Amino acid sequence: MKKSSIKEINSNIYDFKKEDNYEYKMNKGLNEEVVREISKLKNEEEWMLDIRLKALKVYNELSLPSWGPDLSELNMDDISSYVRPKVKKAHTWDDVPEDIKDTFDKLGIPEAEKGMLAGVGAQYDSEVVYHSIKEELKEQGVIYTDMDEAVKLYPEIVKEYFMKVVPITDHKFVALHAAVWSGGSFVYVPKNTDVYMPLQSYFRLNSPESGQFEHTLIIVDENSSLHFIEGCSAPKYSKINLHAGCVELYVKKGATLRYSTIENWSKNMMNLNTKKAIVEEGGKIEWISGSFGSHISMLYPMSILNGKGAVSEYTGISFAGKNQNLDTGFKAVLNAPETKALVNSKSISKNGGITTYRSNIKVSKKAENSKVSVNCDSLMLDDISVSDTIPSNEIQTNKIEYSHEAKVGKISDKTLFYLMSRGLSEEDAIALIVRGFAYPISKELPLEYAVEMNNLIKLELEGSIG
Amino acid sequence: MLLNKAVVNTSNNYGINHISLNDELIKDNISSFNNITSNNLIIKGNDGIVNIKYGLNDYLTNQANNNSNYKKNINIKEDGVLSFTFDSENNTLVENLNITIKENTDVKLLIKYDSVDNKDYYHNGLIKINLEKNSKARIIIVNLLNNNSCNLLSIDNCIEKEAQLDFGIFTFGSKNNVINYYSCLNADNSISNLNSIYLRGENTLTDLNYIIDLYGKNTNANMFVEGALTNNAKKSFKGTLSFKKGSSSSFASESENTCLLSDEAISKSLPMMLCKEEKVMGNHSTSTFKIDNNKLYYIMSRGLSEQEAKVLIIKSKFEKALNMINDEELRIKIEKIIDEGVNIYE
Repeated sequence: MKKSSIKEINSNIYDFKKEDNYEYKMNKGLNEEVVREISKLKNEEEWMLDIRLKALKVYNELSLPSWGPDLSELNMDDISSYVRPKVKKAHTWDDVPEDIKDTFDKLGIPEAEKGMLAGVGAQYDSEVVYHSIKEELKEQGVIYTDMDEAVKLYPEIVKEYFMKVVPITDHKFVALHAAVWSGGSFVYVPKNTDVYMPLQSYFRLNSPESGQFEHTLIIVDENSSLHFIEGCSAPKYSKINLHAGCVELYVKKGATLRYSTIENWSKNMMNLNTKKAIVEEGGKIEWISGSFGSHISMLYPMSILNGKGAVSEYTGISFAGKNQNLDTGFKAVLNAPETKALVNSKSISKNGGITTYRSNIKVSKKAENSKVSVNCDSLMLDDISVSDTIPSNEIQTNKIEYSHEAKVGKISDKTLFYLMSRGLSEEDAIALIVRGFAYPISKELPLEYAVEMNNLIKLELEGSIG
Repeated sequence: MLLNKAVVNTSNNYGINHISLNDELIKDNISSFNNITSNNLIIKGNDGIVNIKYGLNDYLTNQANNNSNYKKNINIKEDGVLSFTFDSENNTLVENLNITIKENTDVKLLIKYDSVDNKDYYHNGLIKINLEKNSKARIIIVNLLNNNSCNLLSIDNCIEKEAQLDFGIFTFGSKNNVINYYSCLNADNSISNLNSIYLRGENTLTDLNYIIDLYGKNTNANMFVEGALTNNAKKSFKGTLSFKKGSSSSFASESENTCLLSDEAISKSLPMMLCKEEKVMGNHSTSTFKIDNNKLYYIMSRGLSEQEAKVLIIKSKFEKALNMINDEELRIKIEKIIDEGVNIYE
């Protein structure tokens, strides 16, 4: 039987470039002058500049991680930290310049907004170019704006929460982010409010040899609920681009937050993102994560369960193809009684791609009668790819139920044979199996995004498994 | 001193990349050790250097190669036994054993470490085992040292074509136990099974780093680790199954289960699975738990005390590994240690 071959994910719909037509592009490199200039361009108050400068100092002191993928290709001297597009933030798509609107049209954002979103934020390079929120949500007291505006309009809230769940000393790329951050989203959902349709922010990095450092800060107050969707993409260039965003989530007592991400950065992107959530009593955080792009990714969303009965669920998939090294996973700290952490992770590697599932679960003494269940499966589609599973845990109380299991393998010949005996071609059979493998993740997404995710896993088959 | 480095690094915050021991625990002054008994073994001197892939660290490997007080080449005739007993005259042991299992033979070997009193003894062992083609070996290492001793052990196995190794590591002694175990399935159709059990208690530290590399086609590796921790015992476990390129049609499985008998005990685990070959099947699982109340209640309702019920449950978890022991006297001794070691700890 001939060996199967599976084409690269069709990224043409994302891999289009617009002219690098900016209003302002920072010189490449990172130093105090760059940081001060960014702050000045944004007209920031002294307190935010102080944070940036402190973060720059920490960045210079910290080393690169001694584990994970090789980051030696990254050279900040080749990266511009700030690119301002030629546009003022708009609240209707008609006010967005044609070339930028065309970008988001191609990505389906305006269409999605009409059909199924309560609000949209669209970021182009370093600035948010479009923001909208349905009137009825505003009337309920929901705040959804870009982060730069939040710093000006709600400084006291931002001061209370900004870079707190993710401290600037967390690691080198958090410090970098805090020094040069720009754009991103701020969401506040007041008590007892259900945001019935998702809010979405989409991040597009168009400019070559540059970085995107958006900051997302979401506070869901007591007994409220929100589904937030984040999407990102970029065209492919020959030089490295960098994404070092930061997501800080606060889920208050009894609240629920679902945070979904479909990440499809281009294959020249280094994606070194940090995401953390603090969950209070009775609160729940659901992470849904699809990682398909990037040249190198290091991404480990983290839940800190600080309140009794807090719950964290993580469902994620990563798909690494040629020249991709996706090092992803999940972290949790169970810090209160009767908390629960559930993890379901899938990874697929092909054509020399490297996937690594890496996690750390810490159950403290306070986490009596808590439960943890971790399940990770890896599918290898050829013999030149790599799949590693590196899950660690630390248990400090005996009043816990903790279990972890993982599997790695190829598509079962028996399963393939069974489906083909039912009349499916080998191509269709493999496609069905892989979609089934990814189903636990795609079923958690709104339909349009599940379709997008399945498009990202589109397969074309020749022959059969050898 | 840093020992027992993980095969793949993780974040230093997790505290599991290696274990740190006070330098004072590592002895440099190695006196003679003569309290050794052996049975059914052909033992000859060995002047050469024994090369191993990992080991605890370079310092300890060098100590075992250059400052050993018991450095031997060993062939096993049938059921071999090698026993080291520590006392005040024999208080430091740095043994270096180079064991060869000849082609087409089927042998068993029991290596036992014991002590007569509660002094703090030092043991740094380096054991290299070569299984030639189509050989079979069952090797068990039992640690019954007192709870003040330091037990450092590096084991390195090389398994050739169609050979099978069943290894048991039974840890019921020592204050500090740091063990590095490596098995290399070097050739096609070879098998490596590891059964490791431990029961550790007050003020003890156990660091286990078990690594199996699968190189050959159609190889099979199984790693079962069952343990129980009482009082404020600390344990960290790193288990690595690594499918190398070319190991097609191979299968590996790892299971690590830790019963926490006390709320003061701390358990860390890092079960790793590394895969560079498509046509393989690998799985691993790890669990940490306290004794299920329903199970306890059921057994107590049959007339056993809580202590007896807990002992029964722990022994049942160790049963598969303990069945590897033929020596009835040793088995009874271990079971007595389990009886005494499993406390009722709220």
